[in-house]
Amino acid sequence: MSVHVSLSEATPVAAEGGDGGFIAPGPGSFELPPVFEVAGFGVTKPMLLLILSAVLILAFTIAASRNAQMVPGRLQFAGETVYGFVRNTLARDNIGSEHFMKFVPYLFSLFMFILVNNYYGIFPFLQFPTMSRIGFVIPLALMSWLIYVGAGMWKHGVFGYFKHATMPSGVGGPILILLVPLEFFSNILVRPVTLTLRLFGNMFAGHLLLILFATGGAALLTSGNALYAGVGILSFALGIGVSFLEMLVMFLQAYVFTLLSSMYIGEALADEH
Amino acid sequence: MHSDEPPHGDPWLAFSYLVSGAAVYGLIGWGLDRWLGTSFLVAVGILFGVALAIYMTFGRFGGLASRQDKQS
Repeated sequence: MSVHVSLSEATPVAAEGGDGGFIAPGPGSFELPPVFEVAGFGVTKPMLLLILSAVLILAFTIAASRNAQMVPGRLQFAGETVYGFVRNTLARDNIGSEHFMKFVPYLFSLFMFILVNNYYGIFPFLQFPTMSRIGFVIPLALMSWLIYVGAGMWKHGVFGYFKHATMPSGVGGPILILLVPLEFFSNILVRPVTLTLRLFGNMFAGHLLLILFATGGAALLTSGNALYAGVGILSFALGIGVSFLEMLVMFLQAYVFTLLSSMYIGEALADEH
Repeated sequence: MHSDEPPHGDPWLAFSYLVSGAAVYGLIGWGLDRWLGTSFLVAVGILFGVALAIYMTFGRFGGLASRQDKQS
């Protein structure tokens, strides 16, 4: 005990600021303890946020479409803008005017769902992007995968779809034997994986950066060293900058996920090339 | 579809082809390595797969158009 005291007195610099007990955020920061338990099953914050997102989206769409007027009010206008964006820009332009309406309900729900769950990341008090837990992203990607493969099989038949999906366009000749496994791997196996990793990775990394700037800034500010405190203020300023960047990324990731889903559906439904 | 538009497609297609090329042919090369007791075939496989992927991306976006015209 006496050795420990004399050591900390002998090295005031290290004791003053050094590490100061600061623990850098890591993957462990995303493993939140259960908020409460139901029959031994821990319910965590992202689960509750997920349920909240469903309630929020339902409330928004019902409120925006109820009492629809010829001259839309503010809420109806907002709802119609989002719906029109998904229907025209994402669905119709990528799937084609013949079949796109069948997929609009799925794409619209998908877009709203990812958008709301992403924006939790910068919403005060909620502050956790649900999609930074990969377990919530995998089912979405699987759903998109089932829908585009299913749509292709509905249009071309099971074997017809596999032929459609594995024949690369624009090349011909004996090199096809080498290219067909590649095309199969790329179109059937890699797509759901990249869909998952893109959304998950962006949300995970963005949230990790925000935690780092916030907790690191706080640790530096409270370290008692004036120089460190200055860096702490810089850290907070960067955190605010990253928050604005995240606002963009959160929208973009919801957009890209929906865009790629509709492109895959459109490609599966396309006529033979 | 509108014929005057450039060939549209997934903008991540090239990435997905490259990953698939390296993975599929790298795996084949690795398997051959294990089978034959060599150690260089995995590198050959990855490079070969990536080369095929680049060729495929060219074809997909119309880079081999003259050849396509000859065939059709």
